[in-house]
Amino acid sequence: MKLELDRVTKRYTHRKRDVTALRETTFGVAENEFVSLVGISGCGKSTLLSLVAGLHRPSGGTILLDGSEVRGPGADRGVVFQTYTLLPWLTARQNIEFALKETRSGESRPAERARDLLHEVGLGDFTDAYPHQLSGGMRQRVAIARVLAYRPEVLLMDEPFGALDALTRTLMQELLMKVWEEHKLTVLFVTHDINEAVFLSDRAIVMSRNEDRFLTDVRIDLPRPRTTDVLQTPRFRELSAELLGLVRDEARAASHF
Amino acid sequence: MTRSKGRPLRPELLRIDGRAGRGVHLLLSALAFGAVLAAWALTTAVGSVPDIYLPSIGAVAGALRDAAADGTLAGDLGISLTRILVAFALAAVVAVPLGLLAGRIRLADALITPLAEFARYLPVVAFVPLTIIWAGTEESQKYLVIWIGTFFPLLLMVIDDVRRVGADLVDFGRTLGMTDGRILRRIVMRGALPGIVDSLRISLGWCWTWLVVGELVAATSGLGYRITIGQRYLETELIFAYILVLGVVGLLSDQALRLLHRTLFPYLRESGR
Repeated sequence: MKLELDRVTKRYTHRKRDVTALRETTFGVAENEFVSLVGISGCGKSTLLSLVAGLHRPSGGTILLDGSEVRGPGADRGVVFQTYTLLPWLTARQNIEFALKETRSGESRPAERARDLLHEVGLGDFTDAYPHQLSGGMRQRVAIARVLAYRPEVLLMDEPFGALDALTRTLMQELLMKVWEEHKLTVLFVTHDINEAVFLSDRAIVMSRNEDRFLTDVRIDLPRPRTTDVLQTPRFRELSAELLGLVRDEARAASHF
Repeated sequence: MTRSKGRPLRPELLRIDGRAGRGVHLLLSALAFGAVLAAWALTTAVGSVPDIYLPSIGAVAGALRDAAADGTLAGDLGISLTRILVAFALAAVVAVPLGLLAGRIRLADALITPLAEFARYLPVVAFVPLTIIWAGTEESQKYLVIWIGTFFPLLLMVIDDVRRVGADLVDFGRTLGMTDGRILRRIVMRGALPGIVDSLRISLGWCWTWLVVGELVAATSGLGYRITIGQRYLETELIFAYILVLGVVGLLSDQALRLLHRTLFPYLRESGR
């Protein structure tokens, strides 16, 4: 296993009350595997991702990357945030060069690598654009190019397309598929969008606050490479329905329908 | 006749979200200035107010001309500008690093912020006698008055600017494996810089007020000193002339920093506006 989580928990104190953000969670992600974490808001999926990223420390359990315990953040895990996190004072190309420099990637030709990757995500004409001149989808493409640039072992994505409109989101999913196949990436992808999880993943892990079936691991056996055509297949609808069934009862309970 | 539906929008210049061209804006602003000057000219022309209270525009212009011609104005301006720049630089050089720390590090925040919040409400004017005891009538006394008046509010504004840099950018830096110190310098400081330059511009404006406070009491030179001379000899037109000079110089320094802001941070301007 590339990434292994063993009974990882996260508790914190909020207004003198103990809150369990994540109960004992155990699963693994294999090399080059695309795994989604699906669940409604508050199920702990983003918490889990931040623990793997090393941005917070788990209260219990261990996280292993290539057999070594994760004790803090590092460039071996690339994170794509929902908020893009581009530095507004740098152009698209400079944002990538910044990451190459700060990760000490040892890239001999940072400017060229930045240009190549921007070209790959379809932003070849926007290398010198500032983030504010780009649309949300374009910004997230820069962020993806930026994280690819320094070649992390694992890609962690926290609802990266959550702030985008539906049409752009579909295009971004296709782009991510292409990039994933090209770069042979290991991905842990957090989303609340069931179709997105089914379309992208090898496995979808449904997280729930329900104690009996807290984690449900669903293998997505759709053939690869995938294009949007797969959305029309019966198997896709079946898998979506299955995931929806797992999430829906709880979503309903949580929103008081 | 067709009946209309909906509440008609008011004209652009009057409604709460209206836009106006630059030309219209400038014209109206010039009109406001003109109106004040006209009221002034009218009052003195009628002669209802003694010259000692309100000198004519011509007399003020004359006083300004005389001060400029014999070099007093340039001398006063030079001395006052030096005082402002020295004191302002001393305030900024301390406030920016302290603000950077207090805005991001809890320990520094706890030690610095409450103290600064208390200090900013201490009346600066009340410190003037103290500064004279401490520093006599030396230049350092003027620096001290300006520094006390500027440093604390500037520090608090810098703290705010630093806090406004998003936590997600800090997280991003962490995921690159950057150290906290490096994130502070390369991301937080840089991200807060536009706000800090703006805070510097605003606090430079206050400097002019504290300069005059310092120069009115224990000075033998400078713009504020010249105003006390005007008072002593009842040369009201000289006081008016120097107050106007202070206004103009303050406005120019403000515009200069605005220009610097626009030049340094082009990425803040929305495209297509």
